[in-house]
Amino acid sequence: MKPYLLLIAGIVLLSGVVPLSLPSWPEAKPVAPAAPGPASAAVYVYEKDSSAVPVGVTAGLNRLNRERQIVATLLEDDTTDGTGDVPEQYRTALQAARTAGLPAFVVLSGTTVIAVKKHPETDDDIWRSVP
Amino acid sequence: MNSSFDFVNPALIDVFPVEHDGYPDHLAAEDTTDALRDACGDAARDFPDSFWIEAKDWADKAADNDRYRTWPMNYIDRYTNQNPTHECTCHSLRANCEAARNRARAVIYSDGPKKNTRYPESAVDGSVWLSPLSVYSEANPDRWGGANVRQVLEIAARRGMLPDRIQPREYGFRHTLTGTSGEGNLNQSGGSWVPVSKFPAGWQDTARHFRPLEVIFPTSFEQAVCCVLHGLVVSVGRNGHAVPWARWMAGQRLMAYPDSYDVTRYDSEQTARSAWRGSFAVASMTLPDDWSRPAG
Repeated sequence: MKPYLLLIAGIVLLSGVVPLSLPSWPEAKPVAPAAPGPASAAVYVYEKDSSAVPVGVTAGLNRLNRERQIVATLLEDDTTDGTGDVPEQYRTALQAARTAGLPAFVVLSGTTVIAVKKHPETDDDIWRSVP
Repeated sequence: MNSSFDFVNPALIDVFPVEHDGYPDHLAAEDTTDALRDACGDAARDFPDSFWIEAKDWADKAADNDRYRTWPMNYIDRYTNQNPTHECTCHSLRANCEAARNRARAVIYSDGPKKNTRYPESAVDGSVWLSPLSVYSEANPDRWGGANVRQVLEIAARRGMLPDRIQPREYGFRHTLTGTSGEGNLNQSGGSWVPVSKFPAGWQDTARHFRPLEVIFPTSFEQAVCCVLHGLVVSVGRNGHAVPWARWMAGQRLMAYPDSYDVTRYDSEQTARSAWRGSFAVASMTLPDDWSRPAG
């Protein structure tokens, strides 16, 4: 086909003189958000000048580590890695905890926050906060 | 020992070396609280008000720590053995740093350090064994004569410690060092003296991942006890030898410490009250991006 004929055909299509029919697709159904996976990590974030870590919290974290194989840890608010940055594994949890107010216990599935418990005091508080 | 109210063998109380084993008087004299704070720079912290516990409540707090096993001793998963070197201040430092790291990891070693024993959990929980020699070699290039707390703390806060060649699991460290130029043991490599000039090339890239971030300086004996009651090791030097206090024995009012000779020993209250002035407690360490890869 000569170039000028292509140009004319394009103008006709764009002007709507000849309707352009596209294949029709099935109507998309709304998709429910994926349920979060199981807890994979849990962090108690605190600021030592404001509050010491209750012994029950440490014991509860230890129990999560042992019995549920969740990486359950303590994080002092000012902690950095060897390069001076917030350790990558704690970025999401630290933000969530600061938003909630310290001290706070944050439970994650991967990088998704699935639970936040403000000011836990006992091992039971820790244990029950993990879905 | 299950209870902090149990009776302690008197032969283990107030045991001091005949001659200093790394903390001679002339070096100890330089370890004032102000000097330690200056040496630590940005890492220096005041004793937090939130840590204060009235003396009348110490026994109750000790009972809580017994029940939950949340003593600093429970965050220490090995002994070291410095014999016959002068590295004591650095062995005390390593206990402090390792405990701070394990406390952050929130793993409890139910019986604390045990001779000729390796906890299987150490391999699972990311425990990293640090090399006292990696600090001592810089603090005293002459090898013999010891080092004071100010020196070793300044070095650790500035550039960190290297991991021991022996670890509870394979972490893929690019740089490690012999743990001690003394005997060592099942969980600590011993061997020849290594001057800083013989450290592996680029060692600083690994050491920076094992650095004290926040260090508390007790300004009284009572504050030192409070730190221990809150799970922090308190390193002190006294009578020619430096040690890490890791448990308050509320019954007999003693400070227990994992001595750097494969054994737990105790300071009487009288000794402890004379020793807190050169003391420090590591509140936090640099932490990894991933516990299974401690140095990235």
